[in-house]
Parts: sequence; C-alpha cells; structure tokens
Amino acid sequence: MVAYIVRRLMLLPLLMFLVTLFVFGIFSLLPPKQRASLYLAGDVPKSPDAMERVIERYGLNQPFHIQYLRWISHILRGDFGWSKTAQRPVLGALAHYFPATLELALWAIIPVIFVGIWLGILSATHHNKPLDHFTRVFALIGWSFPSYVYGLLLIMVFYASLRWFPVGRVSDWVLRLESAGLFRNYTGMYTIDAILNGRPDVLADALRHMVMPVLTLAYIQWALLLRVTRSSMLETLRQEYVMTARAKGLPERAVIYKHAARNAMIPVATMGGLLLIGLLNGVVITETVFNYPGMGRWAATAASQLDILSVLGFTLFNCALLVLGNLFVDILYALIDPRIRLE
Amino acid sequence: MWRKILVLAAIGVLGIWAWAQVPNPDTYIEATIGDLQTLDPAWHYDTASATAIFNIYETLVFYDGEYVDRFIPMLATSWEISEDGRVYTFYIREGIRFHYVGVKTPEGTIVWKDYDTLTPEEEANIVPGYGELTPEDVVYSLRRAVLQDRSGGPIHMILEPLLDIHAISELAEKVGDEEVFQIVSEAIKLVDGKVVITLAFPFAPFIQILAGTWCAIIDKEWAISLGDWDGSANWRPWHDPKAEESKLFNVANGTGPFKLDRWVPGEYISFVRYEKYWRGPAKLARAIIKVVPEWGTRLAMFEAGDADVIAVPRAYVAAMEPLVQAGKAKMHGPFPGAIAQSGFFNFLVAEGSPFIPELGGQPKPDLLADIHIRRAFNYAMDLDTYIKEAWLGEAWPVGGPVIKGRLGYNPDQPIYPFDLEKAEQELRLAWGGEAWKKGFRLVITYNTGNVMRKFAAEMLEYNIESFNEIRAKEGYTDPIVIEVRDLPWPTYLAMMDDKQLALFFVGWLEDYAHPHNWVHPYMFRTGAFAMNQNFHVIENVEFTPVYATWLPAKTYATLQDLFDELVDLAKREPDLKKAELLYFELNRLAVDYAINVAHIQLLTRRYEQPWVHGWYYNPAFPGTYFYVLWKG
Repeated sequence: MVAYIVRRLMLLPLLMFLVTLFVFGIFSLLPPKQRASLYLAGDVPKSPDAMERVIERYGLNQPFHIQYLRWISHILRGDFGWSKTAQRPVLGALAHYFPATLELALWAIIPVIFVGIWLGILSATHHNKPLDHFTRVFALIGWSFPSYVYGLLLIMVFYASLRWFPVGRVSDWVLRLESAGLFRNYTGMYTIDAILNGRPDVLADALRHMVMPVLTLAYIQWALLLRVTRSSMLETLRQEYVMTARAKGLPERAVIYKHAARNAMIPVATMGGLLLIGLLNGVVITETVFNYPGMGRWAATAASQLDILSVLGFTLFNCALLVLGNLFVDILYALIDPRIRLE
Repeated sequence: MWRKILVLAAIGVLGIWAWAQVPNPDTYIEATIGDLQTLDPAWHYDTASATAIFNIYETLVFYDGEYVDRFIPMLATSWEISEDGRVYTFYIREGIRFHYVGVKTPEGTIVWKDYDTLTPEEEANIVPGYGELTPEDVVYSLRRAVLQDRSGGPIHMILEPLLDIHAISELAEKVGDEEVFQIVSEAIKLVDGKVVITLAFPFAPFIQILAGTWCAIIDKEWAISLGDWDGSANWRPWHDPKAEESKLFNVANGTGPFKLDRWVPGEYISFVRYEKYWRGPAKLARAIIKVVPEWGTRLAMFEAGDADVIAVPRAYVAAMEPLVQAGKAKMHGPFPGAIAQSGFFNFLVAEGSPFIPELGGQPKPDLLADIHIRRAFNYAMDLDTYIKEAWLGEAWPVGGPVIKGRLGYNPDQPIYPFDLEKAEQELRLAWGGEAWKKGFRLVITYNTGNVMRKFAAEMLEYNIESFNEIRAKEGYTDPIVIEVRDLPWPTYLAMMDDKQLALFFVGWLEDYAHPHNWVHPYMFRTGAFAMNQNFHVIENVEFTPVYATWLPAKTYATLQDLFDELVDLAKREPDLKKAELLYFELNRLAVDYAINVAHIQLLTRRYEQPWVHGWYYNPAFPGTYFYVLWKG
C-alpha cells in the first residue's frame, strides 16, 4: 500500500505542471487587451494609451513561454502572485477562503452522509412501499431543484421573515470582537475558533449562520447518496448471508444494521469521500446566495474576470486536493473492504 | 408644570422606545455589490474605493450641500484664482490632526498612535508635523499623486490641466526624471505657507478635480514612515505601482470623520468614528460596507433590518415599491444620475475587424461616415419605448453629451424624434442612394449580459430592417441586414479600443461634475469614446456658430478639428455665460452630426431604512457620506 501511495504522490507534481500549462495556455490565447480589462476595474480606458500602459505594466504582451517561466520561477520561490479579485496574495487568498469552505463542507457532510444513508436504508428496507416512494421523491425534488432557488426560498422564509437564521459567516458583533482583538482567529473556522477562544456565544452565532447553507447543500446531495445506498442495500439484502442471518432468527434491526448495512457501505464510502472533495472545491451558488465568502465564490469571480493568477492558484490547489482526496478514498476503501489491496 | 413634565417624560420614553427598535442604532450598514480596489487615494479609480476614501480622507475643498458647482473650504480655509485662471492659491487650515499621530517614545523612537486614545503624556510628545496637517502635506500629497500616476488610474485628470500631458512617463521620456520632478515641483509649490498650483492653461473644472478623492490629503511623515516616496527627485521607484505595491494599499490615515477599522477584501470594510474630528464627531459610531453580490440576499438583509441601505439595480426597483408603500423603506429620488448610456457610431471600422460593415455586399469600413445613415438610425430609435421598457422609466433622453444638471445642458436642444418616415427619407439619401438600393450590413454590439443595451440594439435592428419590405416592393432585393451581437466585456473592451466595433453601446460615469467631463469623452480626439469613433474622416467641415455667436464662421479640415477646438475653448473659458454657450454649441453639433444614438441620462434612487436620517443627494459624491447620517 505504501508503494501505491508514494506512486500516486509522485504523480502529483507532474499532474500539477500539466494542468498549469493547460490553464496558462488557454488564458494566453486571449489577446493582451482582453486580459488588461481586469486592471481597468470594469471601466473603459479613459486616455489613448491607458490600455497599452496597463499591458506594458503587467507584462501581458510578453511571449507565452516568458510569462509562464516567470510565473513558475515565482512559484518555486513560494510566490503565487497577487490575486486581483481577492486583493491579497494568491496563497493568502487560499488560506483565507479555504477554512471557510472547509468549515461549511465539514458541517454539511455530517447531515449529507448520515441522513442520506439513513434515507437510503429506509428506502431499501421499504422497497416499493409508500415510504420508499416518498423518500425517493423527497430526495429527487432536492436534486432537481436549483440550489439557487432553494437557497433564496430559505433566505426569504428563515431570514427575511422569521429572522431565525442570518446570512454571512458571523454577526457584526463578532466582527467587532475581532477588530478589538477580543477574538482570535486560529484556524479561520469560526466554530472551532470559538471553542478555542472559550466563546460559546460566538459558536452559537457561527452555527446559526451555518444552518441555511448546510441545509441547502445537504438537501441537494441527499438524492445521490440515497440512490447509492438504496441500490447497494437492495443488492446486499438479497445476499445469502443476510438470509442466513434472518434464518438464524436475528432481529430485523440487527440484520439490517449489523450485517447488511456494513457491506452496503463500501460504495457509499467512496461516494461520501467524493462528495466531500466536491464540497471542498467550493460551492459557488450556495456561497454566493448565502453571502458566504469561500473558495467557490472567489474562484468563480476570478475566472469571470480573467484573473489568471487566482485561477492558476485555485487550480493547483484543486489538483492537489483531488489527488489527495482520491487517494484518501482509495485507502478508506481498502480499509473498509479487506479484500481490496492497493498495489 | 406637572403636565409639561409628564409630556416631556412621555416624549422621552417614546424616544427611547423608538431608538431601541432601531437595529444597531449607532452603526450604519450598507450592502453593496463591488469591493474596493485600494485605499491609496492616488491609485483608486472606482466608486467603491472612492466611497471609503471619501469618508476617511479630506480634500482642500468640498461640495456645498447638493450643489456640484459650489464649493466650501475643507482643508483649505480659502483660495484665490488668478485673473488668467491659471494660478490657484490655497490657504491651509491649521490645528488639524490626522487619525494617527507620531509620538516620541522615551527611547527616542517615533510610533504612530491613534489620536483618539492618546494619554495626556503621549499628547505632549507628539512630534511636530507628524500627524499634524501642514501645507507641506498638501504639496506632498498632490505631487505624490502626479508622480505616482499609475497606469489606467485617475491622475490623467490632473495632468491634463497641470502639465498638458496624459501621463507623467510621457514627460519623463522627453526631459528625464530629474527635470520632471523640477517641473512638477514648480507646478505645485509652497509659497509663504500657501499652496500654489499653476496650471498649463486656464481650466475651469480644476476646482472640481481638486474636490475629487484622488486629491485627498495624506500625511507626508506617515506615508514616508511606511516606505512611500520621500519627497525627493528620486520618484521613479514609486511610479506606476501595482495596487498591492502601493504602501497605502490597505492602510489609511486621514483627517476625515471616520477612521479605517478593518478591510477584509471581498467581504466588508468597517469604519469607526474619529472622536476628535475637527468639525465635531459624527453621530454614527461605526459604519460598515458589506460586499453582497446577490440581489436576493441584499433584499433579505434589508427586510431583516441587517442593512440600512442596499444597492438596488434598476431591474429590481419594483421589488422595493411594496416596502416603500408599507412604510418599511424610504425612497429618495429619482434623481438625475451622473451617468449616461449611448450608442456610438464608428466612422471608420479598423481593418481586420470581423465587424466591418458592408454596402451592396462589399466591405465598407466607413459606412457610418455618411450622416444620413446615422440620422436614419436616430430617427428609427423609439426612445420613449426604450426608456419605458428597458429602463423602467428611469432615464430621460439628452440632446448632446452634457447631461441635465450641468452647466451647458440645453433643455431646448432638439433631439431626433421617433419617426420612421424621416428614417426612410434619410436612408434613401445615404451614400447617394446606394444604401437604399443595394442594401447594407451592420453589426451592432453590446457587452454580454447587458439586457438594456441589447434592447436598444434589437429595437434598431427591427426598425431598420423593417424598410426591407418597402425596398422589396421597389425591386431592391438585396436586404439591409442589422445583426446584434454580444461580446464578453474583456473582448468588447479590447475591440472597442482597437476601433473594431461599428456601432457599440456603452455607458459613461462622470469623473467630476463639469461639462468638460462629458464633451471630452464624447467629442475630443483623445476622449474615451471619441478616440474610437474616427471623426477625422469627415473632411472640410463648415461651421457657423448658432450659440457662440462671437466665434467666426470657419471651415475646418476635419470634424475632429472642429470638435477639438470648441472643447478646448470651452474648458479655458472663464466667463460662465460664454462657457455655457460653447457647451450648447457642442451639444448642437453632436446632435446635428448624429455622433451617437439613444443617448440617455439615467436616473438614480436610494432606498434606505425608515430610521436612517440626514442623507442628501449630490451627484458628485462617489457614495454615502456617513458624517451627515444618523439613525433613530
């Protein structure tokens, strides 16, 4: 297994290199004047040579290989460049936005997995019964519902009308605490930092802000997990060892949760891992609708504004995340199912 | 007596109750769309940055209430303008402190401390000039801005009247860095404690430019302590920095009513009241501007009371009306905004463009140089419907570049009425009748996603192509083809700059409240739009003044030469009445020569919570001026 892990990790730099070459190449196909628009802040050039000066200043007219080599040489020195859309260094932007997305993903994956699996098991054990149909329809509505609309509906009901759950990451009074130096950001994740600062009020506030985006993400993902769990469970329930367990006179609960569910979880674990990786990539719409400043919102803004350095930074990070995440899923897979060997 | 006391007590209790109903009573929260670019006054050129700088820093002069052409002293106590209109002398206010002052420690080092929180001992140890407004600070701030002159930045506005150039690098190439410093030092200098600014030529809008946030005054010692330009002739290392390279990128130390509290890019910027502000502390203790790109989220924040003001795009004005009706929101306006939208005719589309017009199936790059075609398009534009449907009534047509509310706006200037018969007559005359007989092809462009511009383009497409039916009856079967094409903004901008677009729609947001800032982009050879329209292809232009009757009738080599001369005369004209007539003349020429189509001035509104008070509209303000606001 160690050899397998090392091999996969060795592939990572090569993959990253190819990905950056591809992204850089695509952006370089655009004429310098198009890329210069990023530096004009959405305005028209107001003097005859304004655009030329911007192109010259940022070296946008240099040949592809010179621009790429310059960028690579900076990367090797740990300088990923300046993110124009985040108004901070690219690495700083990653460090700033990733904890927010990670926090959202971690909180979201809990209901996604547990409720999704529970619904899947419920559906399988009530195969073709009203409960099965109901859970499937319920989850499918979530899957087919645009997250944008769903998110806005939640906002209108639970924020604008009932005022139970606000948008954003934390309330203004928490920001004041931060400004006054009374609350320290250790991890960039407010729920964890609140515990580290011994501030249950901040924890409660951060959790309140998390409810709506988590619900949105969870509802969208449930259908997927439900279907995987359901089909896996149906297949497992037809296995002979399950029949044997029933024949032994084991209670139905034990048959399902101890014998069937365990084996049915193998594909579910893979799916769960991939879902988490997907969430960590950033969820553009959810982050935008709930005004949650995470990776997705930043990356989408950067791409739309042709902020090449931000897009490259995000791509590299994403690449590493995907390789490591998939590796983690493979290892998890092998651990869950001893029949699988990673070679 | 007791009755009076009871009444007063009741009022007091009611007042406290009402105050208690106001969320965050001492904090003003605005939810807007865009984030700032920088906090460096000399670098910024966007309204989001300008709003922050506007509340933190101050300028020599300030707009008088709602007026855009009346000024009150701010950091200058008074000023004089020489008879020839070239020399401005400013007397600088004394006793003003910046938010942070330099305090000498017992160890002899200087540390920058919040002036509001100084102990008496620290106050006694403030180093003279460190955080104290001096005429040197004013000279330093203006020279720094001029020498920094970042690419694509706002300083061209100062450079034009000051040194008659567009970029400081342009001058440096000719005379060298050392000489540039000498020239700038001579143009902006200190004379007997007064700041004297000498312009290259008389320039009436100069005072408006000085009131702009790019001319905000910073503390010289503070800037130098951060590693900024030291005031010497060695200015090159600080010239044309990237945003992040400026030492003032994310820090601020002004004399304004609010101090920078925290800027988290992409999320929010917060301000705290400057308690020792020289005009007295603001009523609000804090202000926050949050970046909330999604409209639905902003609306929900407003409904929940978490935002006092939200940015409301025109398309969503209807969503705010029920709130206004129910007394849950206050609406100010609509006011004439400092923004216009227009279609621009390019008289000579550049070679290699995919949008070269055709006449009778043959490329005709100068198709739009024919005035009859341009007039036909103007007659074919149903402005009333366009404004009603696309802009929901939130605009009005303007005759010529100068908008309503500015000197030189002529309410009697006729505009082209919607008249398809006249459009037909003009089309029959275009290119000696060839356009009508042989047909032509033209692509109208707009930037992707801008549905209002798309509406205008499609209206022209529909109305102009409607003549094909009449033409067909007359036996002219080669059609008139108008295509409407959208382009992503970066592509659109690049192609506009390359003069590759034939008829394009774009908007102009005023830099400073003066007609020059309208006629220059629309008509002058180096103006933002005019430089892409090739007016020079119209030759031997006869000019007979209608308004500026003191001018001689004359023939100009090109239309551009005529425009340039009049724009130049107007900006130098010290007599306001004469200047007004010159702008009338320019508006008339713009309409007569039909250099634009669908030129409209947009209206603006502000929606705020009922508990926000004190706001007033000045179109020259980049955003909300927190100092005049209170909640209750």
